[in-house]
Amino acid sequence: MSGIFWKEVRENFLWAVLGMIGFGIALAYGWSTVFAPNNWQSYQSILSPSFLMVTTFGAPILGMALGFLQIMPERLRDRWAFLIHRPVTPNRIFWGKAAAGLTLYFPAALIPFLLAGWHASMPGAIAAPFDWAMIRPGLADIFCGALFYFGALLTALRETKWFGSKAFGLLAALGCSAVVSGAGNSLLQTREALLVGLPILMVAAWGAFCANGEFNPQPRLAKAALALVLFFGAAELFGLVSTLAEMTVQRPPWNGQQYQVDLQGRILRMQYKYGQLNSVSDVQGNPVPVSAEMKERTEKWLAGPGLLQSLRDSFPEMPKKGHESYRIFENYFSDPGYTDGMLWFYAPKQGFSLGYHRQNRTLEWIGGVEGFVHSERPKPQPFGPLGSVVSQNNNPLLLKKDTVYSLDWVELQAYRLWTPQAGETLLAAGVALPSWESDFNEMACVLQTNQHILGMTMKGDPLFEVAAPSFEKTYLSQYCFFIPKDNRFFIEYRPDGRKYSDDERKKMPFYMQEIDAKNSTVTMTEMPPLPEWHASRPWTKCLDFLNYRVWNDANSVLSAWIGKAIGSEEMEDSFRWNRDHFHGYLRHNLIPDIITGLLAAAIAAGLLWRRLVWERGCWGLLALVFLGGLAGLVALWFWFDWPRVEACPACGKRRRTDLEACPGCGAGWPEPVRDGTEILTFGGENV
Amino acid sequence: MSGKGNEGPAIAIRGLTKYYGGQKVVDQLHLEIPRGCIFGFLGRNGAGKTTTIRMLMGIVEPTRGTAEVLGHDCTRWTPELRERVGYLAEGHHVYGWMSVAECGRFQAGFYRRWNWDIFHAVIGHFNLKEKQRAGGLSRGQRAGLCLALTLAPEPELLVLDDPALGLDPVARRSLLEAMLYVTRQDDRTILFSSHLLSDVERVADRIAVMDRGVLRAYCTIDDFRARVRQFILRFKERPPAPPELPGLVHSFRTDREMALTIVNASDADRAVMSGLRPEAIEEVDLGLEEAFVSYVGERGEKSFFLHDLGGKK
Repeated sequence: MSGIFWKEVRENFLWAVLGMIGFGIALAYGWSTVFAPNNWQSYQSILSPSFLMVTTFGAPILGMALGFLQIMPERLRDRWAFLIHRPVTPNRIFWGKAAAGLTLYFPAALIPFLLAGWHASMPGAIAAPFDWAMIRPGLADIFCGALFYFGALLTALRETKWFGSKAFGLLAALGCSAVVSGAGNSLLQTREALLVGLPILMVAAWGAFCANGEFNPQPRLAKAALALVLFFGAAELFGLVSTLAEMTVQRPPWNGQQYQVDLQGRILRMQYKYGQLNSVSDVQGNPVPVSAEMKERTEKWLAGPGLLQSLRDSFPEMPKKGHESYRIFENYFSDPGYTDGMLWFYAPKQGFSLGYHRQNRTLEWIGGVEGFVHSERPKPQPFGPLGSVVSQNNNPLLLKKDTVYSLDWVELQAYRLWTPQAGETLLAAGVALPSWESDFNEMACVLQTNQHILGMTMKGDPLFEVAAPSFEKTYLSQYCFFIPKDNRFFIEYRPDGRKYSDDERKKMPFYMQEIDAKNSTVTMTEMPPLPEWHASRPWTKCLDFLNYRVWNDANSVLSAWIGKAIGSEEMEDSFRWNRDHFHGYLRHNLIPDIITGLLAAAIAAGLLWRRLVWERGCWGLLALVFLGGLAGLVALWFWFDWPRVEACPACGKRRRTDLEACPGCGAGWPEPVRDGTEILTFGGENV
Repeated sequence: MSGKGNEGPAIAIRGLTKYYGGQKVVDQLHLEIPRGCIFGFLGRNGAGKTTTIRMLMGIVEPTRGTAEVLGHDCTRWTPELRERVGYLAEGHHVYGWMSVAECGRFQAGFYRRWNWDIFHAVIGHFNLKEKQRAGGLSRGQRAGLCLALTLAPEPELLVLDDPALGLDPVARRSLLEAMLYVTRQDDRTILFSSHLLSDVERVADRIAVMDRGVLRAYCTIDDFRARVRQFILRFKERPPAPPELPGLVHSFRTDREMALTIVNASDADRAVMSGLRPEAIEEVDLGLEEAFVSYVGERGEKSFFLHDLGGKK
C-alpha cells in the first residue's frame, strides 16, 4: 500500500498545490468581501455568507477534482491494467490511492481555511467578536469535500450503460452536502450526514474499484452501499427537479391571512395574495376600504407588530441545544445591532454586550448589569447566562429566568425591567413598536409570565400589569401591538402549533387581548380561525411524489432513536420532536406515499420478471423499492447489471445470455456456425 | 515458484463469451495453451483478442463461460497468481514522471521475487539510462522499459497484448529478442497478440486466429500455411465463374487466370477445379501474412479484367 500511496502523492502533489492556491485565492476573495463598504449591514465574520459560500462550493470542487484526477487518467484501458496487475489485493491499491488523495486534499483545503480563521481571530482584524467554534461550518464544508472526493472516485470508476447514471455518486454527495450547508441545519444533522454519507460513498467507491467498475464482481457490502448511493442520488435529483419546477412554475410569494391592528386600534383581517396585500376586513368579515396607496404603504396606518419570543426553557418539547444552526453568526453572538460608528453584539459565553468600532475594528465598549464601560477599564458585572435575546429596531431585551434587561446602545445604559414574584416564570417577551421608525424612548416592552401580562417602557417604567388570560386549550402569545397615543396594547394568541394538528387548528379561534392602560380595562376578542399560509400554486404539490418523504422523516426519527439509545440528551430531544413531526407527516402523506411506493414496486417487479432475474431475494428488493418510491425504482434500475435476454435457439423461449443452460429446455448455447474453413488442429471445439 | 495449478495447461478457456450491450464480441471460445508454449493470438482489429486477454487477466468480467490461468479461475485473481503472471498491456504505459530506475524500484516493491539482473539486462538491451525520465523515452524505449518491468519478476506466464504495436522494425526486433532470450531459458509460457505476422512467424509455436469474436484456427504456423492454399488456374480464354467450394475464402480473376484461396482443400475440391478445364493448375505456398489476409479478409471474388480497362479507354 505504501508504494501506491507515495506514487499517488507524488503524482497528484502538484494538482493539490494548485488546488490549494485556487481555493486560497477564492477564500481570500470571499474574505475580502466581508470588509467591503457595501457590506456594512452584514457582520465581519468567518460566518459571513459570502465567505461560507466559498467553502460550501470550493471545498467540494477541490475534493471532486482530486478524485477525478486520481482515477480518470488511469481508467484508460492499458493504464488501468498497469495499475491493478500487481501482486497486491485491489483493496490495498484502492486504500493506498484513497489515503493519498485524502492526505493531499485535507491540507490543501485546511491550510488556506485555517489561515483565514487565524486572521479572523487576530484582535483588530474584524469589527466583531470571534470564537474558534465558528470555524466549524467551514470545517464541515471541508469534510463535505471528502464526500465529493469519494463521489468522484465512484463516478470515474463505474462502468454504466447510461453515462448519466455515473453522476449519481456526486448527486448523493450533493445531498449530504446540502444537509451540511443548509442554513437551518444543526451540528447534529451535519454529523449524521457526514457519518452516514462518508462511509457509504467510501465503500461504494471501494467496491467499484475492486470490481474494475463492473457490478457483479463487487462484494455484497459494496453492492449495498452502491444501492444506497444510487437511492440518495436519485432522491437528490428528484429534489432538485421538484425545487427547480417549483421555482419556475410557482410564484414564490405565498397566499395567506393574518390579523393586524391599525393605529386607531381596530383589529383587521388582512388577506395577502402573492405576497401583496389584497383585501382587508374587520373581525366580523365586513370589508374595510383600503386605497392602493394604503396597500403599498401599510407602515403609515398599521401598528408595527412585535414578535413575542417564547423562552425555550418553558417549552421543553422544542428542540434545544444542538439543534440550532451552527452556521449562523447569531447563534454564537446573539442579536447583533448597529449604531453610528459602532457594531454591537452579545457574547453569551462571557455574558457581556460588546461594542466594536466599525472603522478601527477594535472592541470599544463592554456592557454588563451596571451599564457600559470602555474596554480598557475594568469589566462590569456580566449579565450571566441568558434564556434568550429579543430585539426590535436595534433595541435588545436580554431574557433570563429571573430578570429581563433592556440595553440602550445610544445612551450606553442597561435597565433591569423585571424580577419575578413568588412562583412566577417568564414565558415570553417582546418589544412593541408604535411605528416602524420608533426609537428606544418610544417603544414598550411586553412580558408574559405564568401569572401576569406586563407592559413597561424600555427603561422599566410600568405601563400596565394584568392577570394572564386562561384558555381551555393551549394558546401561545404570538404578536403584540402598541398604540402609544391611547396607551393601548393588543396581544394576539394562537393555538399551540406543536400541540395541535393542522386540522385541529383550522377549527380553533384566535384571540386578541386588548389592554387599555389608560382606563385599566381588558377586553378579549375571539376571532375566526385563519387558514394556513399556502403556496400560490398548490397544484405543484403533486411534485411531492418525486421526493422520498418517508425516508426523509423516518431517517430523522431513526437517528434520533439511536441517539436516545446511546444516551445523547440533545438527540433525545430531537427524538421527541421528530417523532411528533413524523406522526403528523404520517397522518397527511401516508396514503399518497403508499400509492407511489406500490406503483414503483409494481414497475420494479415487472422489470425483474421481464429481464428474467426474478429470484426469491427479489421480494426484499421490492420492499426496498416500495419504501424508496420513485427514487428507489430509479436506484434499482441503475444498480442492477441487467442481463441481456435472447430467444433460446433450441426451444425459442427467452433466456438470459449470462446463464449456460436454458431454464426452459436445459440446452446449452450452440457453438458458432462452422463453414468448413476452420483449422482446429488442437481442439478449440466444445467436445 | 510453486502453487496451485502447476499441472495442466497454462491457460484453459471453455465457452468464454462476452457481450458489450447487444454486441457479442467473443463467442463460445474454447482454447488450451500448454505450458512452455509461445502462443500467437491473431485476428483483425475488433476480432476479440484484447477482450479475451482482458477477461483472462480479470479486468473484464466474462458474460458466461470459464477460463483458468495457471489453474486458477480468471475471475478470482489473487496476489500470488498475479506474481506468477506477467502482463504487458497495449500502449506500454509507465509513470512518466518516474526515472527508469524509479520505475524499477517502484515495481520491485510489490514483488517477493525480483530479478534485478534481468531488469538491467533488458534496459541495457534497449540502451536505457537509469536516470532517464520515463516520460521522455521513445516509444521503443518505453516498450523496453515495460518489458523489463514485466520480465524482472520472472513470471511463469507472460501475456503480451500487441507488444510491438507502433514500434519501428529495430525496436520490434529488440523486443522479441529480449522476450525470447529471457523466457525461453526457463521454458515459460508466452501468450501474445499481434498484427505483425512476421514477428509471430519468427517466434510462435502455435497460433489461434479469431474472426468477429469466433475462434477459426488453432494450430501451428506450418499447419496454418499448409491448410490455406492458393491455386492458380490458367485458361486460354476468359476464366469461368469461380466454383462453389466449401473451403473457398477468396478468389481473384484476371483475363487468363483465376486464383482460388481454399482452406482445407480436399481431393474433391481439386477434382472440381480440374473440371473447369484450365490449361494448368499451380498450387502455391502462401506466406503467413498472405495466408492470414486471405483467411480473415473480406470473402468473395475480386476481379481485375484488363480488357474492361481497355474498353473504357
